[in-house]
Amino acid sequence: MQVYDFLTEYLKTEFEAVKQLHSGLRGTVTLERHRGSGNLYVFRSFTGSAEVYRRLTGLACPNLPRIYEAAERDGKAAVLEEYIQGDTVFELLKGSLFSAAETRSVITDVCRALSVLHSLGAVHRDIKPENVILRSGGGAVLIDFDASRTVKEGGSSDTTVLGTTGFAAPEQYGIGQSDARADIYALGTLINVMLTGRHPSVEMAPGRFGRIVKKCTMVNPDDRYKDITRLMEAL
Amino acid sequence: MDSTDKTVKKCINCGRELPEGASFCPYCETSQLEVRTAPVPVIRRRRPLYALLAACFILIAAAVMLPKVLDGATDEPQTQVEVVSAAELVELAPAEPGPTETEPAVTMAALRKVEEPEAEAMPAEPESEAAEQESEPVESEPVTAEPKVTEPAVAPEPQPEPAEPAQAAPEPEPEPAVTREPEPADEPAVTGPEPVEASQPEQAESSAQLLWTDAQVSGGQAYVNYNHVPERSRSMAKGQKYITAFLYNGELSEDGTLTAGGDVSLERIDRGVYRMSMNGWNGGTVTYSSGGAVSTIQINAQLPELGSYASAEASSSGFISSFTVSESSNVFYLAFRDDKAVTLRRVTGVRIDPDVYSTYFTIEPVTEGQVYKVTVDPTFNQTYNGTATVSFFCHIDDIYGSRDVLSNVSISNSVVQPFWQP
Repeated sequence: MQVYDFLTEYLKTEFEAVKQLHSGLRGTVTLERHRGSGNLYVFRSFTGSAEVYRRLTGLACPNLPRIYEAAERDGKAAVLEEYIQGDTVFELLKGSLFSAAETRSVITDVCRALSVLHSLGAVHRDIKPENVILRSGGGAVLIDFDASRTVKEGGSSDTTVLGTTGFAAPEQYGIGQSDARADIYALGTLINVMLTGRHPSVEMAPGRFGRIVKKCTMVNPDDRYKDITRLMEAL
Repeated sequence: MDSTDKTVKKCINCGRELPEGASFCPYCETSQLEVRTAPVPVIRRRRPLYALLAACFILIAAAVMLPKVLDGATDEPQTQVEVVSAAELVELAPAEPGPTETEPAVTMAALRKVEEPEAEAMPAEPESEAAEQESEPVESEPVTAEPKVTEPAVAPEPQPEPAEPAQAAPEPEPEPAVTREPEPADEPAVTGPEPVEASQPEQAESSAQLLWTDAQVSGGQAYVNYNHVPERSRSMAKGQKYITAFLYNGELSEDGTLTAGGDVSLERIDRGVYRMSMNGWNGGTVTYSSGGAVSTIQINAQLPELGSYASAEASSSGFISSFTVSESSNVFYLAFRDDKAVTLRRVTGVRIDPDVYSTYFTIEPVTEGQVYKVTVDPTFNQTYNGTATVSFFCHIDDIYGSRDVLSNVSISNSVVQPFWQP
């Protein structure tokens, strides 16, 4: 039996669906409870590759969800991962903007997560407030790698246009191949949205953060921070 | 699952059967993989830089303060007073009940008494301990007033110094005399306006900063736009701000009447926009000269009688960074590059030469000022073939203010074709 079939099968027998967290064109995300222990898990089913999830399997990082199982078959992917208790930045932004110190703390955590992701040769490609959860116990966690991909050396452009409008870097629109710097672009936008509630093209964050955002969101990837570490240093 | 099946393994915790490759046991919730700890990114702290700066500051401060301290040591015997007071206060304290009033008298008296034995002791060892004196200048300095023997050892450096300026003083005098003599001799002999030559390096440097953006030719007249890079333009000399002359070179067609040195007139239409008039010109490489700044543009124009269509490939091809296709059949994205000289505010329209095709294109912002989505009507492929210039109406801010310009990109059928293929 393939792992994919095994995973989808034992979900029915060993787990029970609590609620659907997200449903879109590419797949669904459900909250699952283990029948024996009552522990909560997140199950993702989507069209695409689970390669990035597979690389993350068994990896322990406080800023990334634990991936317990990742399998794919016939272009469909199934992933069982840790459930992160907390609110997304998107939800928190509905209440109020983040302070500079809060933003720095959250972004630093996201940078740590991206650093791990990039070290595995992967790009997230969908960094946005909805995909950053602040744990109830403290610390930010980057989730949702459905749009992420592995970087192919020598590739000229992405084969699929994915990402979220406003956060996706220009090269994600088929103009070039996205790499780690596409995440830096989105991270710059995220910083700005956390501080101002608006996209950098509408209102730029003031002061030092504004300069960081500006450098992150340069259209030419070569003009952005070269890697996440540089951005963390700037922060 | 059959336990003999090679594609089956057992859970490391509960022993239940799992498919080979499974990394999680759903029964006992145990990971079958060894947990790896994520690598921690190494961040270069700026503290070393701060420490270095602090160290530099301390060194500079020390360099500034040390001579003063050394000089002051001769005038301020307070350090000795402390030593002295410890010895002398015991003897003098009973005689002087008033502490605050008597302390100065005590210390001065004690100082004299204590300095004398030290000063006497020092001359006893000066010649034999020249090396020590070098290493203990503070102690030897107070003594310098009394024995002349110690002076050369204590202050060998200050004494040569006054001598050196005396030697150095005559040196600068002959030098200017030598250097000034050939300069006036060269200036009048070779070039009269030497001061102009001195400013030419700036002009040469700025030449690369004046970039053409686009040009349009219509009815024998060319409208040319160019950019200044503000950072550089600030350092430009006066008179460099505007195009002052056109030069040209390149081969012209036989029916083009313009020859080298021919009649080209230039009129300033707007800031950054000039109208160039010519007679029957068929294109070529145009160079503009503004003082020492030079920039070139390649203009390919059809003769007026063949149509008022022209395309231009400038050394700076407008603000468009890329013009590439997405997977969508008739949608492509347009990215504008960051330009220090220009801030793109919005794109208001698109035009394909000739204008009749404009209705087949629609443009909408994805990220205003950066990325735009262009949709091509699928029926466009039935009416269009060949190469054309796509012009985007852009509203920009630059050093000349807020204004509308055209930014062009040349496209060919082979490039664009995939966009509207059904």
